[in-house]
Amino acid sequence: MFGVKISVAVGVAALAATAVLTVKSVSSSTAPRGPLAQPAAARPASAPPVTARATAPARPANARPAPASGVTRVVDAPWGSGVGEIGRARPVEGSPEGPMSFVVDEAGRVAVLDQVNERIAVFDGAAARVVPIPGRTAQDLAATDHGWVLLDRLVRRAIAYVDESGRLSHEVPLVGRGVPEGGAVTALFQRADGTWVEVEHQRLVRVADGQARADAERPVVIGRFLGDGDARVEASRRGAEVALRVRDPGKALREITVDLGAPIARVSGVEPGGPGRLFLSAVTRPTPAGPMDPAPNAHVVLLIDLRDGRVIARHEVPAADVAEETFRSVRLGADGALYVLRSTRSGAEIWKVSP
Amino acid sequence: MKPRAPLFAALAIATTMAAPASALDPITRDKILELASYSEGYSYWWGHGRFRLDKSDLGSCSGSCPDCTHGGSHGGDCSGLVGKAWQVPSPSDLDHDDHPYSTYNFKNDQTHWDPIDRGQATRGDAFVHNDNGAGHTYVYEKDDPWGDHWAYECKGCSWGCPHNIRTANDTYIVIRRRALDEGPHVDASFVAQWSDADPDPEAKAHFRVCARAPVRMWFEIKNTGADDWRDLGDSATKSGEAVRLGAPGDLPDPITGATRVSVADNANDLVQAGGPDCNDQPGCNRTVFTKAGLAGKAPADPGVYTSTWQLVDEGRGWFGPTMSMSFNVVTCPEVPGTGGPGGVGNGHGGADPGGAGGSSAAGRGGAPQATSGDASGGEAVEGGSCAVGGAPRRSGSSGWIAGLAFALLAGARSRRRTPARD
Repeated sequence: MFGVKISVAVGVAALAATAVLTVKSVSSSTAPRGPLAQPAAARPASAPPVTARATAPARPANARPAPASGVTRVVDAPWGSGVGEIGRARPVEGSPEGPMSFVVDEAGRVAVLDQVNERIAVFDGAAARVVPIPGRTAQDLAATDHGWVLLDRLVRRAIAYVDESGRLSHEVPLVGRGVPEGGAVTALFQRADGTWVEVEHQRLVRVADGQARADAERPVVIGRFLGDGDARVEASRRGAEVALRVRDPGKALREITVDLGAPIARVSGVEPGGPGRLFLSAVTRPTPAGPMDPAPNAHVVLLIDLRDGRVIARHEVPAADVAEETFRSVRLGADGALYVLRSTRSGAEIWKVSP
Repeated sequence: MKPRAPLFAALAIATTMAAPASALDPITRDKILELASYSEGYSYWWGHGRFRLDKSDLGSCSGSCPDCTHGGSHGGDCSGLVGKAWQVPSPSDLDHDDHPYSTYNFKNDQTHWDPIDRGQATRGDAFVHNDNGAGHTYVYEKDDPWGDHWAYECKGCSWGCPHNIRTANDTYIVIRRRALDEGPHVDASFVAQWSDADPDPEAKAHFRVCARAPVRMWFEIKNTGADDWRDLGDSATKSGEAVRLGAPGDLPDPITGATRVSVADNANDLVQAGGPDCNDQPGCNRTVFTKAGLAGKAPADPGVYTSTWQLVDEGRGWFGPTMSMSFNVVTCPEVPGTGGPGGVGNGHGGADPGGAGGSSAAGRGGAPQATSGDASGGEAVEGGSCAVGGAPRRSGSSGWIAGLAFALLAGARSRRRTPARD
């Protein structure tokens, strides 16, 4: 069972302690072309087309619940280092890692941050190609009209701008005002007004301006943007509930409490779901039989009407069943759908949840 | 430079390096995290655990472990870090190279630790995963608002040993070191709360106030833990030495605009565990935030606003009950010549919206008092709208405020209480 409580409760949207920027409503990663599109010129030698794996049949040996209608798997890439494959690392005594993040453009093309193979793997329907990137410690990415933006929060502690072919253009520092340490960063957002990083899932700091130059002022705002405007939302987990605080300039701050009906292991995503709507995804954790026998998690995706807190739709996506770390497993596609990255024993999958 | 590790070394780490069980020295969770914090910035060094207090000689790692190359003489791998932070099986200097257990041991043995339910994870516990020869473990510090983990870990050759927010799915289990010295701790219970505003006749909130009108509120809390509370600011080194009332989420409170209120601002600024049952002088076991009240101003936009607070021992964690006081902010006509809003009044104050609650208020002055007489004198308007023509609240209020402060210390008879907690 799940339910929603809503209250118009606290405060005003604009906080004196934060700088609210005027942001033009311009889509940053939805250009018809952009880096996910196949280059018009000859394909680079490292990126030959391959037979599609995006439509591979479902694997039978999966104990997870079957996904509901409205949920489809759009990428199913086996582990490996070839084109069409995604790398994973399973050290003997270290953190197992799968792809750390991904983006989806408005045509539904998926770009997976395949940092283990030091590349971006692009899945375009029946074809796949790769774009080499500098280094193997990036953890989030964004697409621009001219290339890619990479977040390396732990080793280089920098935002790297690379062109469509993956060549490094320049970097801007990550740590500074609003970002006390690189490990506190939880997401990267590229907007028309610049590059923002999210800190502790609570606030955004603009680290570079619209021309990708280091931002000397580094303004800070509370919450995560709800699209291209100034509206923002923040989420926090409270037992089986997620508390949402919606900040819309000029309107009273709204609190919405969503009860998922089971203890929440983590909130995995909060993304705009269209005008007045919000995607909320969370991994729920049924009560385990004991500490050595953890019950399988479920990955729940809700579409919520922000006007009244009503749950418009509820979907369940299979949760990851291996330990491979992913930094950002839920992204809003530029096509308006929500996408979920999942690691399995045999590969990485991307699932699409239509609004 | 470390030569490439042969296969038998990998097998040794995975299966045979477990140190025998013996008597374990107690350790605090703070000490575990302190030791773990020294690893931050060091290189990943497969099969080792050696760090320095001054964080020098960070070392380097290249390649893919176990077939990796390490430069320098300090660093560690994931299980080496946990073994060092936990000081198992015996005390080990930070600068002494140790690697007593592997993730296989942490996952499958219970030598000096026990598995616990994942939902019970507390700072200093470890998350561990081991499957088919690959494993990882890290020292857990706390959750972030989404439920991800702040962790100290030696992540891998490319990553080194960071302090970071990370995810960990249900293939990880949680283990807790034995012989933890839980040491002193802080805890609290709610006593009462009240405000100088009038009860909300519409029962939408505890109180009703005019937009932009000044308002004060008080929260009384009892020390039920083992540590005294005080606020030594940056000089705090122990549990209970940086106690403040905080706005959960660190977001500015909608009424006061504050995120913290120090216990040092209270009449009782040294709240003793097991102290005498009073609230008006240092050493009592209860305290009221604050001596003058939490002063704020109602927002300009009408609506219901909730002011929520919880105690925090800064840098250590939140504790005690979460307390909320709600205000129905309404539009009131300005009083000519004052530049301020007219007062609100309902003619029958003293009600306790929000209903029941376990207050010990009776011991401090009995049932809530009807206080319409000391309000602004506004005339009640049918339908619960604002009073019209009432004197501004600031008018003639200085004596009232002084009396209020006196009454607070004497027993707080004239405030509207809201014993209920949200």
